[in-house]
Amino acid sequence: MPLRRLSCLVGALLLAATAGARAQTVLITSMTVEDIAWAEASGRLYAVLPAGTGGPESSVAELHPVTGAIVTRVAIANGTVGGATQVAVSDDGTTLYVGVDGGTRVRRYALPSFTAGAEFALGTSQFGGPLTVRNLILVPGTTTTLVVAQGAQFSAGELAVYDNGVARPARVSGTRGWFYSASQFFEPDGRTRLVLVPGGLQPDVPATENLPFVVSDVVAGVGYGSSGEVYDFGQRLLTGTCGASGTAVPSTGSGTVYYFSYGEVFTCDLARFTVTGRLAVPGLQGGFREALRTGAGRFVLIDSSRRVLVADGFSAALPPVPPPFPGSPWFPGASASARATLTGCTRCRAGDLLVAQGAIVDLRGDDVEVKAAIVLPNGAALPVTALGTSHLELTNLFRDVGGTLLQAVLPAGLPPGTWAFELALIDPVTGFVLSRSIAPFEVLP
Amino acid sequence: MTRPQTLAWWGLVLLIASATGAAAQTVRALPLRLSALVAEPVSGRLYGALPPTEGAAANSVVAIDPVAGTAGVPVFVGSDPRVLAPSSDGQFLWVGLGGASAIRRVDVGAGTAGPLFPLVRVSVFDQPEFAQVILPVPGSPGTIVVGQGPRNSGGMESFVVYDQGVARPSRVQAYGDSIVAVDATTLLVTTSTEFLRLRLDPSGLTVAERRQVFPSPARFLSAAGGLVHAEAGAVYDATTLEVVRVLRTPRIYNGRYLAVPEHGRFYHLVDGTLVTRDLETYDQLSTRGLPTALGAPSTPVVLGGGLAYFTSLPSVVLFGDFAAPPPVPLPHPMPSARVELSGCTTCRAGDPFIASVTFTNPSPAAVRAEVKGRILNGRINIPLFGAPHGTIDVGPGTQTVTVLQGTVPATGVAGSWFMEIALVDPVSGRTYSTSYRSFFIY
Repeated sequence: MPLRRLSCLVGALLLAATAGARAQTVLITSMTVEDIAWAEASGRLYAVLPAGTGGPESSVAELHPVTGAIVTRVAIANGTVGGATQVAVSDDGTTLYVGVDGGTRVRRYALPSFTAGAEFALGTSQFGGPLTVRNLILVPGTTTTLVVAQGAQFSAGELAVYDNGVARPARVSGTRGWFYSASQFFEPDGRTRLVLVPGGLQPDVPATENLPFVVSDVVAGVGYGSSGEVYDFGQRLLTGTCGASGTAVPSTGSGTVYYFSYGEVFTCDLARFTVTGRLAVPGLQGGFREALRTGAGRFVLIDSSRRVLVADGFSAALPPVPPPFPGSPWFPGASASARATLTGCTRCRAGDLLVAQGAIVDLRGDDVEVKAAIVLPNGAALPVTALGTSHLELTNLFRDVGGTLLQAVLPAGLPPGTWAFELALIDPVTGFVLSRSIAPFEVLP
Repeated sequence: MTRPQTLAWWGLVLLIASATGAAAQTVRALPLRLSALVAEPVSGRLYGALPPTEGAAANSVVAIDPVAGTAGVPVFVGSDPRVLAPSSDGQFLWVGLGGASAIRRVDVGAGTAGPLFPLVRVSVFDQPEFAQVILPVPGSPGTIVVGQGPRNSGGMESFVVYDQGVARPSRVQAYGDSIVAVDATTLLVTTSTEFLRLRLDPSGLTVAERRQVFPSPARFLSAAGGLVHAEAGAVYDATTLEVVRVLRTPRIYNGRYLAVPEHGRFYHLVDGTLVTRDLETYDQLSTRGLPTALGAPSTPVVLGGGLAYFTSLPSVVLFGDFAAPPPVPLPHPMPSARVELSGCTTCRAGDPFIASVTFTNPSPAAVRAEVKGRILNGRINIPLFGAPHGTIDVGPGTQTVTVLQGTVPATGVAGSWFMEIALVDPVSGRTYSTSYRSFFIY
């Protein structure tokens, strides 16, 4: 009997963004589900509820797509293995399939009456254990052809195709049992592309993909990766990457991809591959098991705790993303450096006082050879004798040093032009110039 | 294409006067966040790539007039532009995308984005490959060599020639850290231990030579004039792949640097300064203060007499006079010393080993020079001329002095060795010459 239950929404958390004509909300309900399915044609949301949700036994139910509340619930008695597990709905909204008896069997229901129909068993694996449903979808455009990810306990699993409960011979083994439906594409591990053939399923050779990212969804031959990738399977081309990550839910009509992640929802503009908005949603847990678009700006998600979330109002723009964190500082100093300065005249005539001061900073114990010179306009260099030697070496010095190296009243008769006081630090072994500082001055006629 | 309103403030130019230098230098900063910057000498413009974070201008390239200090209208090019390379005639700007396994061609004259060219897959992993390096082929504006690799890796795993987006059939699958064009038909690829010489012909690319070298070449800075300047400080002869000289100070690895053989200059951005060195001698020519508040710089680009880089603050920093002619290499009339190995270079016990130094002085009079030299490996460090501050008078003409001659001993010397020599002005410390040779003893 259908039941109406709203009480399980107790504890729901409602978050609203203030921006936009219609606020974005993410309703995190307290209701847990085993699986969900969305019927686009009828606009109805279906779920398999575990025992204890809505009743003592497991069930299949229609949920309200906005509130997540139970609209109709049909109890499913436990079989020898267990209760109901997975659900799939035909795209015309008339037929529902549910994994029952712990997923060892698949039962058909007619909608919207939830009239139970035929059911079939998946059988046993080659190692003897019963096969159970891990995932389940209907081939688009059909009400009788199912693709079932199935496997025995501790086995890798396989994909099989059933027509009215009769398995086609060709199966794909070694899958993890995840797949996505979009026209002819099936993605058992989010990366490998398969095609449906009369005999069953087979890898799409030679177009089998080994993409270095996980595909969240495929729509019209375009895969949407969980790290922002947008991949055209037909061209085998990564056409762009959005700077967002999470479970990707494309809304191709609006040219937007939504990324649901830990505590945040991002939107990305598919035309320009730019993140256009970000909404913080405390309590949102990433790694969503399911994410379905159920209308314009509305999504239903199942989080890692199997809770139902309803995101609504996402037709409006999300708050803009703030600019990136500003830059890092400059690179640290390369080595000890020399500083030459003039504190007396810099446009000098005979009789003016020239004062040349030198400083060596950031020695850090470096071994350096110090050179100081007065360089004439013709390039000739005169030693600054205050150093005492032309080969002054400083070793194991960890402090800055400096002082006046030359203080002189300029005599008459000096060649006019640009002179310079130079202080250089060179590697005493290799001669490599670590630092040179040049303080020019003019000698006027 | 629309002009985003957010660009209105791009007209703002910040003027910052540097505090050091012989004359006050004007630094201009445009408030742009870039992911790549390149100079296009034909138009005299810079081109910047705007990353995906830049709102309405995201995923675009923008022309920058460095003389006026203004930015043009952004042109959308695709997901996450990261590599820019202008064709040699300035007709096209090739844009490598970090978010798409493709390259966009931009028509520079029209200022419009051209077709998106998918990159072929060469790696055995059969996964999307991304442009890490784009090398336009001189004289063929529609032809590029692309170093391809996995997304966000920076490393290359394959090399492909494209003619207007069509891949030539002969492709090279090899790991590489960098690639540089030596001439119209030869490219060099480095890994951490070796050079690959690639030959470019109408069929595509083939590996012509694979050579292990020491010191390891790491990444290139540039190649011109028959020399290859590598990031590790070594300078290689592009033909023989022998090291001709090397920077010995490890601290040069800090910061960003750019060797420009056409300028005869080595530009080094570190610690808030631009240090300019002579590319022949590595002598320091000048230092100029730069605005540290704008954030850490990218590798600079040069155009005319100007230098530009971008920071993450964000800013594009323009330094110097972009309308002025570029600097030219300095003459080197000073004496030089060159190390030569005439015995073995890959040596075994008992092999003859002869090391000599050839001194050359182009001036008619003897020049006094302080000579620095050593021969060393990781454990042994032998001064070549006794005291580290020995001075010699280098006479006119050329003289060759044998500094080490003998046979390789049987024990205790195995490993990689090198010899280096430098001549410096004993008074000012200015570098006259540096030279370097490596050898290996089994």
